[in-house]
Amino acid sequence: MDDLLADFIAETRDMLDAISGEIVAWEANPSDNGHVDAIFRFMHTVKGNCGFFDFPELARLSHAAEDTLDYIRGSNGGAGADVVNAVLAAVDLIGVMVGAIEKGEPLADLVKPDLLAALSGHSPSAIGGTNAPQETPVPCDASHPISQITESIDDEPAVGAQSVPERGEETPNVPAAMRSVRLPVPLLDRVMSGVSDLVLARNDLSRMMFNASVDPVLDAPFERLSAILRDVRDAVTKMRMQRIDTLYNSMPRMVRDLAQELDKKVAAKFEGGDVELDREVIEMMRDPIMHIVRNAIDHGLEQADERIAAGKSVTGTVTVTARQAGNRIALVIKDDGQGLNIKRIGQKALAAGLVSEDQLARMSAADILEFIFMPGFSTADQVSAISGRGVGMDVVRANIEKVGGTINVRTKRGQGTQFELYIPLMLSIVSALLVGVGAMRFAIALSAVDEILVGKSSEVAFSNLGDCLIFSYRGQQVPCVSLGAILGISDAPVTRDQKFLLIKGTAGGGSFALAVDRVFNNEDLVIKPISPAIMNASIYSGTSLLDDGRPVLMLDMQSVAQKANIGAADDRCAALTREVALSTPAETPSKLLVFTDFGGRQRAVRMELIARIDEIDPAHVQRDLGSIWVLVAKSLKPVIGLDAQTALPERIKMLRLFNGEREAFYAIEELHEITNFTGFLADVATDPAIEGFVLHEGSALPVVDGHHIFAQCEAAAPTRQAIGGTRPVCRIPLGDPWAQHMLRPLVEAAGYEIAQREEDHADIVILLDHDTDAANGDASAYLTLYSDPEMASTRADGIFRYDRKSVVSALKDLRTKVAV
Amino acid sequence: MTDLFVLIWIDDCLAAIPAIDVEAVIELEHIYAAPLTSPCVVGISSVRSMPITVIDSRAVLGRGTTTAIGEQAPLIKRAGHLYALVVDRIEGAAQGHAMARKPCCPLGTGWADVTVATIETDIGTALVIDVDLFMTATTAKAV
Repeated sequence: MDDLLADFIAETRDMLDAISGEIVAWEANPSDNGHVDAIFRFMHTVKGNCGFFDFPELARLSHAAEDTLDYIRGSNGGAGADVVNAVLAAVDLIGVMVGAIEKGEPLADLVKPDLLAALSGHSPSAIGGTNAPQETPVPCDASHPISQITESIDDEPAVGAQSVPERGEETPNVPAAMRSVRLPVPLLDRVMSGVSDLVLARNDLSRMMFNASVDPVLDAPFERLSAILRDVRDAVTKMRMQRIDTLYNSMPRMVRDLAQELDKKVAAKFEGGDVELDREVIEMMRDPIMHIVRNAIDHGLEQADERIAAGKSVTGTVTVTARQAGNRIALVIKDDGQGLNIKRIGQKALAAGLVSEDQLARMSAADILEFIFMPGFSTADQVSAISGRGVGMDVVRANIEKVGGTINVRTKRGQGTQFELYIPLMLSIVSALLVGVGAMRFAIALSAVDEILVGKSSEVAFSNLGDCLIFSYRGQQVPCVSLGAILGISDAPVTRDQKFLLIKGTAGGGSFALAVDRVFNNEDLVIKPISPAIMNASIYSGTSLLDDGRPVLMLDMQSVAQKANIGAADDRCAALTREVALSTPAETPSKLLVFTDFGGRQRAVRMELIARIDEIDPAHVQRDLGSIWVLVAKSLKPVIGLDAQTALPERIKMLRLFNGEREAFYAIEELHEITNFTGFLADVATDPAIEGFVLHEGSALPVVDGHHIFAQCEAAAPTRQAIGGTRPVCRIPLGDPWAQHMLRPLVEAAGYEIAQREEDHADIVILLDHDTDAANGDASAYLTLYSDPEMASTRADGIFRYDRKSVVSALKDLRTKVAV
Repeated sequence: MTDLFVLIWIDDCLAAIPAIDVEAVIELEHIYAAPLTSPCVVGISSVRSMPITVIDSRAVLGRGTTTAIGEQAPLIKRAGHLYALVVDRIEGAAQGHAMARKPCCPLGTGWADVTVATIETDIGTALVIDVDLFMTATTAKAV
């Protein structure tokens, strides 16, 4: 609400500034009604805005002024000086009131009844609709002659409407500190693109400096320039960002109106309003989110009696949650209604001829749910004004895909439905994959790519369906097109030496495999528009400059699909895909990634564990810290699969594993393919690191145990990163510099919190040998460190204070004891 | 009153572009092809970290394609996009007074579409290219 109020204040001030010219002009020539319109609009807007807030005085004033101005507009002769004065006084008073609102002062004392009377005296009701002749004071109220009114206005120090030049000086409505400025979005865009260009120019310069081996003296200023540029870029990026609250603000009202209309009780919750994203993305997400929320209330939530019968609370809940996940925003819209009726969706799809009975019988629930995103699909039996016309979810999906986002739906009968939207933070920066065809390079939005498969993999098979090449992998079949052929670069047939990108199906085309010669890295690219001459090829969506300065064209996958006629064959291919998917056993197959570890052994790991695959510079691998760590994004993450002696290649491939809470890196020597398995792993493993075996290419392939991996990492990790667990408290001698500088980091790294004061509760206490008398209190364990190694060796539990290994292991032991 | 023009040779014909329309004369180093575009588009390149579309002037005029790409190219900005025109060579700059073209001799298709005037220079009469018409021709052919 605070934001809304601030907006109101800012907007009113802006309008006051904007009409000041009109006021002056009108005052100079009161017979010119053209200026009245602008002032009328101002009054009207202020009055309208007051409706949102509780400012009756302001509403009354603007209403009276609006009436007067309306009357003046209607009269041919223009306004008399007294009327002009009264209106101007009203305008000024609004400025004063806005200042008072900002300061939180009451408005009641500011309005002078005289002024209102003067205004209403000119309104049509008082005049009885007759046209007041020009320059004739309206004899509406003899007790308030104009001079008196003007005087009374002048008494009010802030309202000096007598002479225009003085108005600025006399209006103390300028806020003490400017809290915000309003800028036109195009200007922001210009600054943004200017900064992007600066970054590119910097890269250019850096490249030239490198090539020309310039004087190292330049390095420092160049570094400084780079650092400043980074800061500026961050700041400008933030300028474009807006809190998602701005999207939420309009929702409660819509929910309330809709609930009332449908006679349902709805509680709407909006969470994560402080998440920020590109204002343009917010605007583009507004309609889709509104639509989903509307659907949830209209179709999702049951009527009160049904809810009671189902044992639910009468009030239905719709929750919209936003959170940032990497460079994407996850938006979840969840209701606790009846859930989607999968059976009915299936029947509707059948009736609409989207699927055959036979196919439907074998489709999974998730596949059937996908039908709701089909154009013209609606399960609502009754078309209401709110929803149910089947114009909707397909448009919602198309809009989300337009900004490079994705949408998923999950539902549980009787428990509710959940839509998950993943949308990029920024429109102008796109995560892209660089691919090569012949000598050319192109960028493809990463969001369009599902998976990259190597043609040589045994998982991959090719077959022909008429002229269409079909690409089969893991029981799925999709049409395969060669990028080289699409672009007319080469007419060479698809070979197994190529790489295959599985392109996600979109509203405009089905999914397909795209054959490319090479796949390079992925890069965050600043995408710029391209000239119409190139745009006319209808296959590119923009251009960008790579780090090495060469330009690259970004391919639009939907256009590629259209060029390859994939869209036209969509139904057939989609059916084909499903057909094959359904012919596999009913259990959902799990995916395993097969790799060779640094011991040269072939292993597999469950795909669900893998967040991504990184290539790491060996310089970032720390092997001198006891256990092995890798420096990723300024934090150390545990590494397994390496030991201190392993000879490292130039780039180490690492599987980034994620258990929902923390990450671990699994170093591997070589990456193979992804394989499917159904059922259970053969549990014949005696090695705790192996979960079980699967049969792969005629031999038993050990599957590594994710549980074991994370257990290992947990043991080695600085426990402070563990989420949710409370850390035991350790007291170390507070006044001792050695304890503070040398011991403290060690203790913290071992997962303890340091007691801030002597009297704080501590689970363990560390004592230094010269301070043993402090060994009293409530701590459950004590540890004494000795400054003399000889002395330490004579004590049973004695540890020399520089015997790091012993200190760490003692701390670890104590932690387990304390935890028990 | 005279204006400044950049003199260029396209298909052995002397032409002039109003200097006011030329952002710069650049050295075209690397050009990267843009498949599926019209023959008028040679490809994309970059100058000072800005992407540019490289246009083959001969192709725009319907006179085949330029095989040997000259080192220098005039850079033109239209509707926020930068274009480099591939020409046979750049002659230099000249002051001149553009005179409305007299329909004395047929210029042939292509030239007639993009020129509106001529100027007299030391090395002969040059056809003055109207950049807007030239760009319209480029985009029209690109479909």
